[in-house]
Amino acid sequence: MFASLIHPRVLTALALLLAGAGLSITAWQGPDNAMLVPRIVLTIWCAVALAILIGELIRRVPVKHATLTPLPLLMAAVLVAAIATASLGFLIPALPLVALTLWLFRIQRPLPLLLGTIVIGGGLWFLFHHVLMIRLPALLTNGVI
Amino acid sequence: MHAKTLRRWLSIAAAAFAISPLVQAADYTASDEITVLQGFKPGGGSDTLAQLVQPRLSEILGVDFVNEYMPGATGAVAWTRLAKQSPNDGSVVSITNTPMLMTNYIMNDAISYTTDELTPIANVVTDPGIVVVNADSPYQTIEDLFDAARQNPGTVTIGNSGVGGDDFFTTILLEQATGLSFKKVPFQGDGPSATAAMGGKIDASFNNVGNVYGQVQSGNLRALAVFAEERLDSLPDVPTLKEKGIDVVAGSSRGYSAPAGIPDEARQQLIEAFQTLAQDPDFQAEAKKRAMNLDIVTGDDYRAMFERMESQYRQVWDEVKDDVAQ
Amino acid sequence: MDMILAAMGDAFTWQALLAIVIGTWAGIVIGGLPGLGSVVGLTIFLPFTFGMDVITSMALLIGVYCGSVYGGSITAILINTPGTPQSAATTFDGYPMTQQGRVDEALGWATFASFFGGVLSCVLLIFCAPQLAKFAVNFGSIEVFALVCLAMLCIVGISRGSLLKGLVCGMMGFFFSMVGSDPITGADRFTFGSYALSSGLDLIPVVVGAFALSEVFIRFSARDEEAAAIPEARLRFPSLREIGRRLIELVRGSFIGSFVGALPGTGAAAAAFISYASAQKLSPRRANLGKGEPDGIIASESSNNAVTGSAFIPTLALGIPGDVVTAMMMGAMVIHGITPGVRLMVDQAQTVYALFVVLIIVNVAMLILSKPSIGLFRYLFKMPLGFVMGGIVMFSFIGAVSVRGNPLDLVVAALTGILAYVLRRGGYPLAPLVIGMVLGPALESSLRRGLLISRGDFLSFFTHSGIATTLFVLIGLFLIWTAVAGVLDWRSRMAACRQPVPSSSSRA
Repeated sequence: MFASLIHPRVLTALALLLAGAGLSITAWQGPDNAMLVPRIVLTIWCAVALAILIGELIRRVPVKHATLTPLPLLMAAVLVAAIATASLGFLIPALPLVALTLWLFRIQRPLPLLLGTIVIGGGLWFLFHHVLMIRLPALLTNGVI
Repeated sequence: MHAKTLRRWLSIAAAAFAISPLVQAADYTASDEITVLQGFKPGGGSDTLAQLVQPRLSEILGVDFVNEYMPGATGAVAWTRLAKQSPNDGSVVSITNTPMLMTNYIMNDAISYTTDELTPIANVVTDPGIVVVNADSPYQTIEDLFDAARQNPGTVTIGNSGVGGDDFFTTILLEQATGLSFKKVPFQGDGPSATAAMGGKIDASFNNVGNVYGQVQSGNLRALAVFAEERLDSLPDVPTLKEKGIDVVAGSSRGYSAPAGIPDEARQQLIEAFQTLAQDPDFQAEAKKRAMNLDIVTGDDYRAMFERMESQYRQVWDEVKDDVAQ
Repeated sequence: MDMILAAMGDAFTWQALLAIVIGTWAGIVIGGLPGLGSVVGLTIFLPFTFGMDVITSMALLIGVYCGSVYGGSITAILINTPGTPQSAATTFDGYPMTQQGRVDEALGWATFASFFGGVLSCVLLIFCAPQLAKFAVNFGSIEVFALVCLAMLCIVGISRGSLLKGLVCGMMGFFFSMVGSDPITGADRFTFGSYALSSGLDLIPVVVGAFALSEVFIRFSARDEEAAAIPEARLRFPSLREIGRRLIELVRGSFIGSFVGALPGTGAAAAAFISYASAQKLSPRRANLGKGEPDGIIASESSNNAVTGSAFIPTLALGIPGDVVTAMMMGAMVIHGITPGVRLMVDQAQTVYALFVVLIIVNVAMLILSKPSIGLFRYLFKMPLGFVMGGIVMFSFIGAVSVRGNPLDLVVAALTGILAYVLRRGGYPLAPLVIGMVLGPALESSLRRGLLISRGDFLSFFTHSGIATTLFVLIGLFLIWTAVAGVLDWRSRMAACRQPVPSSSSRA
């Protein structure tokens, strides 16, 4: 019984239900007029999420054997780079992110890795930021990097 | 080829073609080029102004203008950059839209710049507020509309371009001046508000002359009043609210400002350039062609305009903010 | 007649033709790259046009616009990642076809449907602009509310998998659209005190996260397997016989796109979903929709490209742009001294006709340039998977942040990517998330604006106008039809249960 409770599908449904419930509290505390539609939407969300949760508990798809993959590392890198852009500008977080993505996708020989990082990370940044003048977030106030 | 250089070259070429007798005036002392921070996307109203004004200013001042577009937060991204992070040597200016420039920070404490951190150079265009109704509307005059609002308070529907926009504030200013109350219907922009009036979906739309002029001319919309100081040359039959005894003057204006504390000489040269521009008949003709209502106000007068708007809109917001936001 | 010939002369200059070729090709490529869409494309090219004459600059911009709307379908079909939100509905059938090894056919239909929709909407623009504009003006908030309700009802069954899981994702998308300051009262909703959130969540970062980034994560787990490889992009145009067989689908999609495009404040993504919803109900091959049926691609691509022509209707006829993209085009016209509006057709008819000619040439150019553009993507996707994925991550980031220069949008994209990965692993369909985010705001703001206009009287919605009443009657009929079909389906299933013959019952 306990094993089936920590099944990823059950956890996903549970998380959806909790998120919906949490947001519902905010919606019911807010002003009536502005929160009218959000309340309806979140109520449906919660009801449906509850139904899904019950469905997942009844169905009990067998748990796939969990393997350790570096995927969470890639996800974390994407998220950290996204957060860091606000303070460090676009280029500095982008370079290590591209390098890590290439590495994890099996581009591990030094030369292709380095060239790939410079061309995909630096090159695209330069193209958009300096040539096409689509200004990306910058570290320095004068916008050079 | 570097796009910035290419673009500058193209704009200079275009300017050279446009103005045939090349008048070479005194060079701008502060820098070789002026960066113009634009708070909106290319092709927006600010850019339209920039493309009209800057090639001519470039001739007068002997300096290149480089546009840098940084759209976001209804201009606040660019204006914060101008006030807080730009060199105040006269090499950076921005196109400042009023009353948006003030209402941004009046309505939102998280926006940190204020107009005290700017050097107002010149206002260039003002698009006055206007009241329009559907051509089949029973309201023939502005008094008809007010009468209806007086008989059934809070039921006459008035479209505006969005909560916090200039038309939204104009509606409140009018409510405060007349003691009437309207049902404000916010749309996403001036266009949808005008369309709704044209389709007879709302009783009236508070809009800007530039947006609805064509529709008024062709008879799809009827203009009841303008929120201007005097009657407009383009709409001589439309009364101002002032002549009706209601002192509400409002509109949406665009001009140029620099960061606070730029050198006096640079400020003076910029102001004189705009004054020269104001006299240029070719410029006046081009502005007319684009349905832009020139309203050139320079230097200290432009600052006075800032201060007047700031106090006016702050007062309005203080009175209504509890009804609007949490 | 002289006027039209003169207009042709304006459009067939070498500068204008060159601008069309460059603009269209660049537009296709920009549209195809995940994250970069029509707005970024126009932002890149608009400043270049300041030194050009009117027709050349409009040729360049129209090329970029139409090209980008079509280009989004290429990556939607190849890697299940719509290059632009307008092509999100193309993934429903485009990607299943790719998985079945029918890439060439899928790309062929997408290209032809885009061309067909584009040209048909040009024709409508030329002959019916004033009438359509008049109709659009009468289509107010209450009518939009009824239309979106109808589309939402049709679309509920769009997700194959679980209906419930689709519904919860739809609600999530709807919820995403409500974050930020409320458009009607200005009150902050779900911003938790963050100023950056008060301007709301933009569609592009969410689409980038839900499709592009989550696709990178999904392919990561299978990076050493054959399944992660991207099939070679090829193009095979449908034969005349095949086109004839599906002509009615092409025409319907194009009309829906032209019509929705002329309405203010809807846009190409909404048009594609509404058109897909209609195919779901009206296509003779509707049972196969979502499993790799060309009709699905036709519904989506013919309608989103039909928007490119008809979006000019409110701009040219009323001087009121229908969406962000046409607002930028209108800005470009004003900069060149043409003020769109009622008088434009009279005062500057030659320029307007030249624009129509340009619009048609752009669609032809799109058809011709589709092959080399797809060739470029074939070349790009032939590179080792790592480079392709690194590029997708980079373009996603650039696209997400360049929409409005808000670094928070990157965090939104990253979080949506992770969320979408978890949901996909749990068997949740992602399309309803985007549908909720596109149609949700239209539904909410039209409902609440309608309530303001009708002074709080919801019942008066039904009798507000002829159009509204018709749409509500359609909704009623649809509900009755669904109920009856449900009962019949249930009875036949009960009958099937009694017989020992195993039969697979299909869900409506």
